[in-house]
Amino acid sequence: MSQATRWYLATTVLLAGLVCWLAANAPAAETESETRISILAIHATNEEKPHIDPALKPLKDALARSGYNSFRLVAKERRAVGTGDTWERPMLEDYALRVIPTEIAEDRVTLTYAWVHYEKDEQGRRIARVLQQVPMTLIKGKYFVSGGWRLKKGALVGAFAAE
Amino acid sequence: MTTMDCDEIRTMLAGYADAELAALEREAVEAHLAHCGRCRALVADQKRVQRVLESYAPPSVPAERWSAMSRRLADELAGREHADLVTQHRLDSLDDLEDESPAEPRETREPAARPRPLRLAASRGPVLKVLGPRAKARRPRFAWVAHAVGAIAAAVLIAVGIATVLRTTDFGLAPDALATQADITIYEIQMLDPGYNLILFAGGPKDIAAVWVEPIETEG
Repeated sequence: MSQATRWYLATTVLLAGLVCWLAANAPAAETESETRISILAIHATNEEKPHIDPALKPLKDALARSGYNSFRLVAKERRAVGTGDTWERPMLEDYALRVIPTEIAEDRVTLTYAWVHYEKDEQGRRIARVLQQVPMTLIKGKYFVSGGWRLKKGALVGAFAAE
Repeated sequence: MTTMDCDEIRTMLAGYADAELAALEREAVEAHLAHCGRCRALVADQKRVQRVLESYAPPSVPAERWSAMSRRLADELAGREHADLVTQHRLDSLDDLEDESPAEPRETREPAARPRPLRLAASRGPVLKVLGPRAKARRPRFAWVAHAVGAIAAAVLIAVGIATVLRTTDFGLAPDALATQADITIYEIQMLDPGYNLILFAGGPKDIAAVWVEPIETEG
């Protein structure tokens, strides 16, 4: 195989990869029935020396009510979610936070959020157990905090906002 | 004279067939051949091959034909864009040249201004191969195009990647606002796990809104 042929082949593979990547990552056209939801996963613990991630400083007052003194941001994700869609974000230790927008207005979003814990049934099958379910309306751009779920060490806290 | 066996005789058969043996050796071989059919057959084969080779005479090519052909090849290489020019078959069919008159204008043509170097490799018979200098000259041009296309594709890929990252990444990890009681309306709270107590912070309109749970400590 000549050098030119190799280059053509490499270029073709590169372009094909680019096309595939673009196809896979092309953002869905945002419609009026779609909003962007951000979810934070926070690990709360009690430590001798209190610690709070700088990124979580704005949530400090809300987090302080949890009874824990240290908070670490372990995950943050933002995704476009349409009316009626369910976005389930895995959090920590088999917990997940589900967000289901039911109505999207210009300045607020009506949604239902649910905390889910994945467990194994008697047959060893993985099943989702809903721990808490809350329908609510939230002004866009404001973070709402919910959590306190028991972890092996400390507790799990979630925060989410719509944009 | 001692009788020699087949192995010893066969080392001398080539010389015998070529009549290059001394008298004593030739007598020994002939004495062996007188009673050995297999060695006689070998000698017969060898002589037959020898006759064929002797009868072969390569076709003679006049010197002016060679020079005319070299000029023609030089002209072709200087003026054409063929990548590979292999003249094997051309020279194998020398009859084509018979049709051309030696007094053609080609004979008097000026030599090419910048004759390309020819690398001639002779093998058996009138075989002339011209290796392809054109092919080597063209390759960098293709490589340049391939480099350019690859570089453009890579640049597009990087640009799209950066644009995507810029569009989707929230560089400020800190949430800029926290919902207060005025920002939310909670319609219902369904506690489906009996192992937790619900704590709902609901104060004044400017109080931070949050829904907490607290594990129920079981005794024992």
